[in-house]
Amino acid sequence: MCRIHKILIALASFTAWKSVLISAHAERCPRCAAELKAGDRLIREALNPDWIARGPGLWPRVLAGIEAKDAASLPSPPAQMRAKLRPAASRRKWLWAPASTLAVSLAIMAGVWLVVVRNGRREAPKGESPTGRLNLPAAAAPRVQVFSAEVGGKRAKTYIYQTPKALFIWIAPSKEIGG
Amino acid sequence: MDEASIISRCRSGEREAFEMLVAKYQAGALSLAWSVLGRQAEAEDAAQEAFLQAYLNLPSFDHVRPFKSWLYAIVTNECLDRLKKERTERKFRLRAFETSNPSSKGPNPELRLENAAVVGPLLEKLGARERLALYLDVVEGYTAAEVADVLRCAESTARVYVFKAKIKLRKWLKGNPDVSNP
Repeated sequence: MCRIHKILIALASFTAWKSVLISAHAERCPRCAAELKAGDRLIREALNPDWIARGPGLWPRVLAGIEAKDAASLPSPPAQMRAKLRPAASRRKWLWAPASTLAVSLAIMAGVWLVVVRNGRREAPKGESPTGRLNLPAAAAPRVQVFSAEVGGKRAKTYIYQTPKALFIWIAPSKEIGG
Repeated sequence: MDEASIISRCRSGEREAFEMLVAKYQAGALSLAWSVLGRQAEAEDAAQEAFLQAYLNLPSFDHVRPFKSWLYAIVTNECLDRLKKERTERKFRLRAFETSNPSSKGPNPELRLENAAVVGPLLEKLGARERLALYLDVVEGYTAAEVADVLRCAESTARVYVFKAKIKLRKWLKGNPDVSNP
């Protein structure tokens, strides 16, 4: 190698910079370039082994690979039939949304129905339907009306409490009840 | 027929046109793959996969770039990926081997070039990228810019790869004078 090459090796401290400088120099310096090319013939021989020239061509293998890729990209006939019978994966993916909404709605409706019916049954007395009291015959308890009442010559207030079997009438002077 | 028209025929789906490209570049692709992987079967697999990737990605090929460099970049990536996978597997195997045989040093992880010529032992000591750069520089006659294009690195980095490999070769030749003067 030439003197510049030796100086560069001695002076440059940082390895990466040293390599860049020396390689740039070696490309331009005819002496260094000739010395570096000394082994090229051997490298050329080593990296071109005989089997490459003798061996069979790569095309049959490459063609087989291309055909395999083509076959993989097309759906097979049974797969096409299955696709007709079953919803596509993309459609199946969205089926869970309406199905779960329907299930939740049914659960809420069942819950509300149970609460209403059970509460209704709890309020009703045993052996009597909740609406039994409303069906009292009007003739069995004739309505009592008090048109006027007086206490001590003065108009009094009247209160009536009537059940089917008893009648309570409460008359009170107007002052006593604050009226 | 020029290469551009062959490529346009390939793009339109003509497999016969792609067969022409395979025939033209298979030797180079195999040599490049072998210089990295070191085994014939592995090199053939890598080159086959690279051609397949090239065929599938032909629509994205940029006409400005030479097809050869583009193909070589695919071969390089394929080989480096395989090497990385192999290293990971070897690490696991080595760990398993050392666990079962604590006294042994384990299998030699060095690369072995099958049927390599006299400089085979030297090439085995170079890094994968150094071997690639050396192949492209010496065998293909690529410039530093072209080597950098294939290796996807800076031009100065590519130059350093070639230079380091050649310096190692020179030192090795000095130590084995009978090889350089057969």
